[in-house]
Order: sequence, then C-alpha cells, then structure tokens
Amino acid sequence: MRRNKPEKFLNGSKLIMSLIAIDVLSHGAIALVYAGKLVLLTVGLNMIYSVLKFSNFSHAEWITWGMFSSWWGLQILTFVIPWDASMGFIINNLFIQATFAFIMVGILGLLSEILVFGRLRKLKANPRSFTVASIGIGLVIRNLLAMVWGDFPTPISPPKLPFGLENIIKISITFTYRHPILGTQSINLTSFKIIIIVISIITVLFIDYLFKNTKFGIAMRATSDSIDLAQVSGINTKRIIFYTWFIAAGITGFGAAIVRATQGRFGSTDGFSMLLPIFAVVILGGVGAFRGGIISAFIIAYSREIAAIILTEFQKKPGGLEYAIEDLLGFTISFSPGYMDGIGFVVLILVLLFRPQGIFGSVEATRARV
Amino acid sequence: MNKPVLRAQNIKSGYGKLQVINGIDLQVNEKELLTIIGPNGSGKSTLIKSLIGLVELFEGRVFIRDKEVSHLRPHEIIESGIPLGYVPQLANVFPSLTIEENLKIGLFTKKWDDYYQKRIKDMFDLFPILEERIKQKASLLSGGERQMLALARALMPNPEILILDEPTAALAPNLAEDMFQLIISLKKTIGISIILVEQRAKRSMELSDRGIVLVTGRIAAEGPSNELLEEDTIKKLYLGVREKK
Repeated sequence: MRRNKPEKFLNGSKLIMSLIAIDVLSHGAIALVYAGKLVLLTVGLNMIYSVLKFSNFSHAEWITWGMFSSWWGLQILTFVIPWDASMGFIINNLFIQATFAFIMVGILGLLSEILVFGRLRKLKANPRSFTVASIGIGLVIRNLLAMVWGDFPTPISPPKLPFGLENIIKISITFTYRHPILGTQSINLTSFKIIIIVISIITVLFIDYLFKNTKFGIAMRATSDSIDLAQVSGINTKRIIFYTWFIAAGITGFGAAIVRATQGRFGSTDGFSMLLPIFAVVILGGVGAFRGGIISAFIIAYSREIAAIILTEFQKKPGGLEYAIEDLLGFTISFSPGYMDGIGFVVLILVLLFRPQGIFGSVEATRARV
Repeated sequence: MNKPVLRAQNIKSGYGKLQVINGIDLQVNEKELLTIIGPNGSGKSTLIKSLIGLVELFEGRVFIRDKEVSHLRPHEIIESGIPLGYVPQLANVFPSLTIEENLKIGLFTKKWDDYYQKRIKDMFDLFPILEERIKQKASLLSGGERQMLALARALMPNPEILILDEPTAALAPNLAEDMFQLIISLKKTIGISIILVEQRAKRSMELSDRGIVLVTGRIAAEGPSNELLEEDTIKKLYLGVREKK
C-alpha cells in the first residue's frame, strides 16, 4: 500500500522552526526532571557500590518501599492527626513523608545487613554471593509489597511542599501549542519540579562532602579498602557498615518519596523499572564519584530524550524514515519513542569503551566489584 | 630487666573450626625486637593477628602492658588507648585514600588537631617522599613507597609496640635492606618494641634480640637470636644455610 504524499507545510519554515524549538524545550524539560529523579535515586546505590563493593539489586525495592512507606506514613498521619485546615500542612507535607520514608527504608537496609549481608560477610562470601542475595531480597520484597498492597498501581493525591514553597518560588513554565497536522506541543516545568531538581543536587553534594571531607567519610572509604586494616586503625567497621546501609537506604527512600510526588500512580514494580537507568548512571559517572553521578544522570536523561525526538521524527508521516523504509524495502521497522531507553545504554557502552572506570571514577574504586 | 609490653599465654586460635595456633606462650619486652620465622603455613601471620583481635582466640589470654585484650576487637584495643601499630603483609595501605588521609587514619581515635600536625611532621622527617606526594592517592605509590606509608601510618599514634608482618615482602634486595635498617633505627631512636614476622629469616635474626621459630602453629625453637643462629638444625631447616660439601 502506498502512503499519501507529504502535505505541504501550511505556514512556512518559521512555524516549523518554532515547533522544533518547542519540541526540543519540551523534551529538555522532561529530561531535566528525569535527570533529577535519577540523581536522587542513584546516591544510595553508589554508596553501597563503593563502600561494600557489590551491586545491590534490592535497591529497586528500596525505591518501591520508599514510595509505599511515604504513602503509608501519610495514612498514619491522617489517622493520628485530625485532618483539618490547620493540620493539612503536616499531613500532606512532602518533607515529612520523605523523612518517614527515609527512616522506614533505612530500617529495611539495616535489616538486610543484619539478616543476610552481615552473615555473608562473616562467612567471607565473595561479592557475587552478595549480588545474588540482593536479587533474592529484592524479589521477596517486591512480591510482599504486591501481596499486601496489590500489584496494581494505587491512585494517590500529590503531596505538597512545606511552608508553601510552591507559592514562594513562583516558577511555572507551561506552554501548549496545538497544530492541526503536527499535533500538540507543550512545555511543562513547574516550581515543584524545579525544587525537586535542586533537592537532588543538594543531596548529592552533601553526600559527596560527607564522603570526601569528613572523618566519617574517610572511615567509610577506609572500611571499603580493607576492613582488617581499618579495624586495627581504631575504626569500628561494623558500625560504619551499619551507618552506610542506613544512610544509603534512607536517602533512597527519601528520594523515592519525592519521586512519587511527581507521579500520579505507583506500584510494586516502579523501583524495578528504574533500576537499569540508575545502574547506568552509577557506572557512567564512576563508582564512588557522587558528583559524577549528576553529570551522568543528565547525559543519560538527555540522550534518552534526544533519542525520543529523533525516533518521533523518523515516525512522522511527511518524509519519515519509517515510511521511507516501508516504501523502499516493503517491510516496517518501528521507530517508536518507546525505544529511547536503549540509547542511554549505547552512550554508556561508548563511554566505558574509552573510560572503563566511568567519567569521574577512579580505577581502584572500580576494581574488585561485581 | 625490661618490663614486658605484650604477653600471650597458651593461645589457641584459628578460622572457624580450623585451629591454626596450637598453644603458644610469648612475651615481648620493652625496646625488644622479636623476630618470628617459620615455613609457609606455619601460622606466623595468624599468630600476630590473634594477638590484636583480628583472628578469633579459642583459648588463652593476651595482655598488652597490663591490660587484658584477649577478647577485644581490634578497634576496641585502639579505643582503649593501648598504643599499638600494625602493618599487615598484604593490603597495608588504603589505596583509595590520599597519603594524608592514610596518615590521618593512623590517628583515627584522636582529634585531628595540633598533635596530628606534630606527628605528621615527624613522619615527614622520617619519610620525606611522603610529604612531596601528600595529596596523591596511595594506589599510585610503588611497593617500597607503600611500605613507607604503611609504616608511617602505624607510627602515627606513637605506639609502644609495632607489629610488622613481612615488611620486606615484594621488595627488591636493596630496598629490603633499607627497610631492615629503618626498623633497627626505629628501635634505637624511638625505643619501640617490635614483633617482626619475616621470610628473610637469616637477616632478620641477625638484627633482632630474640627469635621464635614457628612450625605448624607451635613454637619449635625460641631464644636469643645469636644462639638460634648458631643451632645447626635451625640453620639448615629455617635459615637457608646450606651444609658445606
């Protein structure tokens, strides 16, 4: 079947250029928010990866548990505090919910160490055993969450920022343009989303400072290098490992609560669906390089969105590659923007070919990890 | 007579159910250099790790000065104020930390204030190369430089007893001799007690006050080094001295 010939542009090249600009800005805004989410959710994984030297796959369920527990925290607050106008700012306060998620996920991290990972360490298990155990823990938690709360995304109401921050920082870029042929173009960047990006970057810089400039951070890195040597230097490595689990899991929970606030629904597989991009950010940025994680999150997010733009253009009817291939070869190759996630990993592979330790990682931090 | 700094009474230790050290009594006196030699797998490293809580003690007691440390974990020994320095055979520095951070870790239980500044200056006097590369990661150091850093870190808390596990391993002969001279100089100038585990048995025995020959987790011979050096059996089996044809 032959397709219609491409329509002539209605209002000339200026309109097309404007639409492309809107398209780029629109995707740029989406990428910015996505990068912010990735940054926030990456810190905990990077901490475990660099201090305890294994890939913690149960990180996905930390995210999910963070989303659920922050929502759960909201329910408890609603039950405990009588809901009226004066208490609304506590009950529906994003930071209170996120702090609750910090504690709950932190406890989950500690339990993982006490019940599983601590025992494996005592038995001198290799990093592969830790990784496999983390996959197992993740599966158990995911299924438990599905059993208790149901496997279907739960509709929720979005929480609010405290102290009316949304009203104080009045940044709201919302632009919508509807074109009869080229469809609807829109940019949506609210102060809420911008604050989330700022929180993400502040969190990463804080952890980076903690890791590199404080006595506690030096003790964490020393424990990562050699537990025995750290112990004979007077470091209570058991305590350091506990703190590492609690902080790493807690920050992930905190981040998950904030990410949950940006989306309408959440379910027991939400964390799992974000796991691979999060791993990509850690590896691309470099193990232990928290600030590198910010850059790599932006690289992954923007390459993903650029891919979405290109794939969409390929799909478009007038002059689209998808149609040209069909005309030329007689079969269809789909250029759906849904394939954009793969592009981030292409970037990851390309970077790793030149810098196996990641953009900001050191060689010794990457060594002996699984 | 010099007072004992470290005493071990009938210690038995090992890993899990495997007993490696089978009842050893040991004493190190003030300003004494005690060398422990023995074939591979005889339990030398396990013995010194047992003294400082790195390996589980099944039986027996360990005292540093007059304080019992038998069931203390290594960090608890340091936290209780016992001045102890330890340089392991492998992984003797923290590679991802800078040289400065490695030295700071040596004084982890103390405040990093004026005393730290004084000690770090002392270490730079001993090992000038470390000052030149203070901001560099330890992973970038050569084998010999790593040993210097490991020794400097262990000396940071000004320990009364220094435990060295094969400090000359993986060093070229000239660097190994430099290390031996440094150990002797530390003993003389600082007056520190040293337990030295060595594979270069003859040379280390020549430099030490007393020696212990360890075989299958038991003491096979013990005494002043000069006497051990003269014993034919020890010469032949453990000091690498060959009989003349």
